[in-house]
Amino acid sequence: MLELIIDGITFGLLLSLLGVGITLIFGLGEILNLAHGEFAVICAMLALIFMERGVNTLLSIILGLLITGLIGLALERSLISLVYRARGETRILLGIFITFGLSLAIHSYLVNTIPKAFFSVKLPFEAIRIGGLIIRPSTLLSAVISVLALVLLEVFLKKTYTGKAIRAIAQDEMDAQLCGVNPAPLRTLVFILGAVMAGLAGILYGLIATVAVIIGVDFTLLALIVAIVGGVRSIYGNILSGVILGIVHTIASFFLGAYLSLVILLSVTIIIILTRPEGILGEKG
Amino acid sequence: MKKASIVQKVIILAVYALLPIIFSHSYQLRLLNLLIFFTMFTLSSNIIFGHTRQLFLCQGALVGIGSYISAILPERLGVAPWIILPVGALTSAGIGSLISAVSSIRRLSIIFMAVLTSSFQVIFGELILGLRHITGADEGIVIRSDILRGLIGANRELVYYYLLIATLFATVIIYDKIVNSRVGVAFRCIVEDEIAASFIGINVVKYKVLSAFISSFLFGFMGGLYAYYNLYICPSMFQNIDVHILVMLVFGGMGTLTGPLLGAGAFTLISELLRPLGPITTLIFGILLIILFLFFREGLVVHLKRITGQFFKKHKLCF
Repeated sequence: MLELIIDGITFGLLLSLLGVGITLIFGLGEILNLAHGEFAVICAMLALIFMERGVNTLLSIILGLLITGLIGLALERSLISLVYRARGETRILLGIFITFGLSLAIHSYLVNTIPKAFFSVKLPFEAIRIGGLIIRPSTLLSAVISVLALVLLEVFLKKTYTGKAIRAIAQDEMDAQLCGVNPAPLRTLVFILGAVMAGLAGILYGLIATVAVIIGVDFTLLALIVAIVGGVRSIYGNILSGVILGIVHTIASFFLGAYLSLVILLSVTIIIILTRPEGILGEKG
Repeated sequence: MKKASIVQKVIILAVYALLPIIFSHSYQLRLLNLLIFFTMFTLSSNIIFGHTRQLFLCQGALVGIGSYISAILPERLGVAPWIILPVGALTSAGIGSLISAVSSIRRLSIIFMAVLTSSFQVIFGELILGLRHITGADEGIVIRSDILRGLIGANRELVYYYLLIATLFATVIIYDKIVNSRVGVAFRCIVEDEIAASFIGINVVKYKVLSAFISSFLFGFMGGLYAYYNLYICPSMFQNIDVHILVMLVFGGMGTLTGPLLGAGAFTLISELLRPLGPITTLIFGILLIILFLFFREGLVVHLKRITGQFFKKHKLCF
C-alpha cells in the first residue's frame, strides 16, 4: 500500500509538471493548450530516436528536450501568435480549436508513422530496501527531478525579473503593459517553458513506466484536471492537486482497473467544476 | 415563410430527390446517405454552437448514446426498433439539456464548457470499453433488428436515402420556423451579447437549454438511425465525429441554413478523395481545422454571398 502511495506521489509530481504548463500558458495568453500532452510524447519519441541511433541516453534525452523546446518555439511563433490577434471570447474559442486541431494532427501523425515505438529508460541500479519497503531507484529519481524542476520554476517566477513580469501579466495584462512589460516575448518564453516541462514529464514517465504514442491524449486530459483542481495561480495548488490526483489515480487503477479509475477521476473533475468554478487557472468565472 | 425561402427549399429538395438518378450505383448511394447523416449532424451542431455559442465537445458521445441505446435495447426488451429510436433520442436530449442547464445556470465560461463536455465524452468512451458484456467494447455490436424489415427486396440504400431526405427536410423546415420566430431572435441576441440579452428580458438559460435539447435530440435520433442503417456500431465511429462536425460547420458557415448543407457536401467529397490515404486523414482534418478557424472563420456562405454580391453590383443587376 505504501509503495502504491509512493508511486502515486511520483506520478502526481509528473502530472504537476504538465499542469503547471497548462496553467502558465492559459494565465498568460488565455489559450487552453489542448495539445499539451503531445509535447511529452514528442520529447520521449525524439529521445527514443536518438537512443536508437546509438547516442548516449542522457545526451539523447537532453537533445530531445532541446528539440521539443524548438518545436514549441516554432508552433508558438507560427500558429499560436495568430490566435493572440483575436480578443476576448473569440481568442479563447480560437485557442481551443487551434490546439485541438494541433493535438489531433500530432497524435494522428505519430500513431501512423511510429505506432509501435515505446520509450522507457532502465537504470543500472538495484532496488533500494528501507525496512520492508522496496523503492525502485527510477521512481526515486523521477520524483527528485520533478521536485527539482518545480522548485526551479518557482524560484524563476518569484525571484527573477522575467518571472515577476510573467506573473504580472497573468494577474492583469493591461496593467502589466502600462508598467512597460511587453507580453509577446514572455508568452513565447512561457510556451517554450511549458513544452519543455511537458517533455520532461514524458521522459520521467519513461523512467517509471513506458511511453507509447497514444498516451498524449491521456496526458493532456490529466494535466487539464490537475490545472482545474489546482484552482489557483500559484504553482503550489497545482503541485498539491497533482499529487492527490496521482495517488488517487494509482490506487484506483490498482483496485478498480484503468477504465473505472479514469471515469471516477473525470466525474470528480466535473463535480469540482460545477461546485467551485470561480478560481481555476487564475480566471474569474 | 417568405416566398423566396419556399422556392429555395423546394429547389434544394428537388436537387436532393433527383441525385439518385445520377448516382445510382449502390456505392454512390451509400455516399449520399452518409452525406445526409453528416448534414444532419452539422445542422444540429449549428443549432447549439452556431446559434447559441454553447461549446459541446461531446457530440460524439451524444450520437453514440442514441446509437448504442437503439442497438442494444430492441433485442434485450423484444420491442420494435421504431419505439426505441425516440427513446434513444430523448435520452441524448435529456443528457444534452442537463449539461446545458447546469453549465448555463452556473455560468461556466467556454474553458469550463470545453473541459466539462470533453470529460463527458471520455467518460462515455471509457464506459463503452469498460461495460464489455453489454457494449461489446472494441468489437462493437452487430444489429439484427432492421427498421425496414418489411421492405426486403426493395433497394435498401435507396429506401434509406428517401427516408433520410424526409428526415432532413422535416428538420430544415422546423429549423427555419425556429430561426424565424421569437426563439430565433432570442438566439441572435444571446450570440451578440448574453448580458444585454438578459437585460431586455430574454431568459438566457431557457433558450440555451432549448437549443441544447433540440440539437441533442437530433444527435441521438440520427445516431439511432445510423445504427439501424449501418447494422454495426463500434466505439471508434464516435471518436472523431466532433472534429468532422466542426470542420463541416466552419467550412460551410455557422448560423446559416445553407452552410451546413454545403459544408457536409464538401466534407463528404474531401473525405472520399482522401480515402486512399488511410488513417492519416485524421492528420489532414486536424490541419484543416486549424486553417479553417484561422483564415476561414466566416464560412463559405458569407464568402460566396460577397463574391456574388460584387458580381451583381459590377454588372448593375439587382440581387
